Amino acid sequence: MNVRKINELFSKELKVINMGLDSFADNLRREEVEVLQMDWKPPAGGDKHLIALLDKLDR
Amino acid sequence: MEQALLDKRARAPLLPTLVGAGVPSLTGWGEVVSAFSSAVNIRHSGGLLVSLVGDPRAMTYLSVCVPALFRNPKKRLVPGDRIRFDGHRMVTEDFVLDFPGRPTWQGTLSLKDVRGLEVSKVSLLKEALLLKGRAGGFLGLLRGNGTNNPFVDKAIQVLRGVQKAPSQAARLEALSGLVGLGPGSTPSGDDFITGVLLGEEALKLLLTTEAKAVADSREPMIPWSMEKEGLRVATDRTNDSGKTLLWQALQGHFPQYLIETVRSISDAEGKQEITEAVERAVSRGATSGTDALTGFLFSMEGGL
Amino acid sequence: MKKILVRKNAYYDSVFLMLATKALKQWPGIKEAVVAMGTEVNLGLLKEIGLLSGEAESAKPNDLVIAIEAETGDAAEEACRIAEEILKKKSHGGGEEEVRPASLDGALKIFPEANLVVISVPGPYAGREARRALNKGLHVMIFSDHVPVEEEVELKDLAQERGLLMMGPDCGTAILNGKPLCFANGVGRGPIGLVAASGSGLQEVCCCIDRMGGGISQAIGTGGRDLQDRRVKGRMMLMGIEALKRDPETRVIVVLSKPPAEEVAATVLSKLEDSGKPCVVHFLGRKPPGTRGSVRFSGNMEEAAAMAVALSKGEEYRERWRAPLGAEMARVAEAEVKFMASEQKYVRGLFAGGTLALEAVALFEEEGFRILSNVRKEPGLALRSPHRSEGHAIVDMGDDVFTLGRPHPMIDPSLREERIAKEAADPETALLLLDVVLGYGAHGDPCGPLAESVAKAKAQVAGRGGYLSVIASLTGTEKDYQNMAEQKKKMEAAGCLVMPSNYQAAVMALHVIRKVGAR
Repeated sequence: MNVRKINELFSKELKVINMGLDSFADNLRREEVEVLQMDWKPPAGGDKHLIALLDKLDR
Repeated sequence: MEQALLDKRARAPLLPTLVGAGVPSLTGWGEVVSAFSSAVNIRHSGGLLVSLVGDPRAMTYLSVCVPALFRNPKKRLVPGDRIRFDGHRMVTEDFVLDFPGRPTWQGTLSLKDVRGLEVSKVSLLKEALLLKGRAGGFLGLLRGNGTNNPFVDKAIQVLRGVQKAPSQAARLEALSGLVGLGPGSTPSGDDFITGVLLGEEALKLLLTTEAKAVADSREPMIPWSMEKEGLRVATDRTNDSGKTLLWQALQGHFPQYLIETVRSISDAEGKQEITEAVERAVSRGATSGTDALTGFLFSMEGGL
Repeated sequence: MKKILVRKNAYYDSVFLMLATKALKQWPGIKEAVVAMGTEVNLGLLKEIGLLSGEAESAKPNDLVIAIEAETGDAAEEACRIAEEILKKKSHGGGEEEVRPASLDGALKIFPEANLVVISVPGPYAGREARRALNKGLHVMIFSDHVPVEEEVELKDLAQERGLLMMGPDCGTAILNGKPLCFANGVGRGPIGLVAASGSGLQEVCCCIDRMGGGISQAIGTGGRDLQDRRVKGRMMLMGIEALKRDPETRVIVVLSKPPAEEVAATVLSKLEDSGKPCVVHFLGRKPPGTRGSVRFSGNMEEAAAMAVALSKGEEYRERWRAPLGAEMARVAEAEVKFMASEQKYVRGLFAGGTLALEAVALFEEEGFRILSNVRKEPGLALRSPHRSEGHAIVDMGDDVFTLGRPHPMIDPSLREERIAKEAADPETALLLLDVVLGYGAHGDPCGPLAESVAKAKAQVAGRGGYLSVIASLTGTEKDYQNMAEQKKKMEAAGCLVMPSNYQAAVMALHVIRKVGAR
């Protein structure tokens, strides 16, 4: 079981991308964690069919 | 709106990293008058400006350092926003700044900030200021007359009156002629007077020690019995910014960058360090740093 | 030609004013431009040089005055227009807009050093975002629930392949490198590492550890289904244990979860035994079957914390944790029961944390009481309707049935306030048992409104000639922003008994109910 990257994370500073609730990013900033808040929107306007297509292209 | 600020709904708490010691004594209402990328100025109902700053180097007796505010685009304050002061904290529509338990900032000059000040360093300060100082304010005062700048010309007039005045009280009265004078969102004259008060504070401290080299040569211009009433009254003749600065300086509280500058000069071991300290100071505002140091020199040299 | 502009109550930045002045002075046809605040002395000066007129004469110190002297009338007009434009644009000062990217790719362009993505977007979308993040080599925490279990399995397989953290879905709490993620408390650092399948449970254990003087190295969340669902098989739990095994800062490992499926439990326990470090396991609501080599079982969350702290100090811990001051509790219970009306019989537990509710249910059951709740699904143990308490009842108010379309009770106390009023109106209610969770993510002042409800409820019951006993615990530390001491004071002022842990609150409640029964 390879967990090397997890242990690496433990010895580094957290650098977080927050996708969703703003308050989670606010709280991290109070703790002096570098965090980037995303302005997340459902992809393809929420159209599930389109999303499935996009995913296929991704893979 | 006021009711909204008084209700008990949950607001995000923001932790100040430093609270200027003058802030917790304020109660009542304030309104945001300007908002910049790393400072927000709030006009308290008493007429003083309280600043929220992102950088501890911008601290004053009436500032609160709260870096988190400036890292978060959602928590923007804009001119017109109302703020409630209730002694323990500041409350806005979106967040609360609690003071208890947070580190306090005084902004007073102490012996360790001045003990290395001596005549030679003061000369080096003058040289550095002439070299690095920013024009547009009162730097012209260092250069003598014939400046072609109406503000500087006026200031020279006032200062001649100060030097000629027959008594300390009269000198003080005369100095107040600079209040509100000059360009800048804080008039240059107010920065200059702050520098003068800083210099007088430094001299007072030096006279209480062995290092009297600078102080020996002259009597302090501003009486130490705190007879600054003349100046205090004059502060009504300038804008909020200037009034706030002078109000603090008259009580012996100075902005962080000025204390840091004096300390650097005092600790400096050579010309290079003094020049660097001056460079840092003159980058404040447009000409604030330059004007304040000019005032400081005026005090230290007993005239320009 | 002279022109003067006045801008009232101007608060411009000095540098801007200086640049504006320069720009004006350099404008073709301009002889002189003065930009300054309308202070007495400045106005006096302007007058002296003949540049004061019109409305500028009554300008105030906080007004900005722009005085222009030009060669021609046109030049003056032009310059004024420009000045107005410049000032209008800058009337609110500077301030760069912070960039908020809309996609993960965009985010990584700006922030390539990112190493963790926290996802709290709606469940149906959370999975694909997590997959992209894992594929980009980032660790992931999914706070969202309603992610299909098949997706969870895929994600955890992917995470395993890449050796990354995949905490969640439905992972509400984690503490990595001493930093709280989502719902978490401020806890000191130390050598105790935790892997937990329960958010509020993890919070409770961490807070107890902090209270007892211990510290946390890492607290990894696995998400609620990790050990419960046979298909997920404890994948994240096993990775978490492995990482803690290899972490030099971790000297004690604590595992916390609802009782796992049998074969999953076996895998987890043998992994713990292999870790070479002392371990404490708490399977909520299940009596411990003794020890297994270096693995010790605790009987409740507070005990798990106590054992971990003792082990982290190199001490052995053999005692079954008993709530201290049993005699003291009995005495207090006596006083609580004294003024109750004869119809008052039942305990009504109203919990915001599901795991905290489960602990209370388990304790009462252990002591032989029949408790109805919405944490047990088996017939005979489940409330017919979670909205209506019957007999001794303990309700997890964070359950979906309550939170659809409403914020979770940890964030918004009003849900519980309504229920408290309802229970107070029931003449058979003798005792309310409550949990309050502090820390990040939770309400800014949960005890404010809660204490008010409690006071109202007590008054209501007293008005009928009875007495309502209210017992609560606070899950938090003094590092939490709500100010734990203040929160406690508020509850106590309302007449609530505040206990130091969820377990002790349940024990205190037991004492009261026993006394009620003994009347």
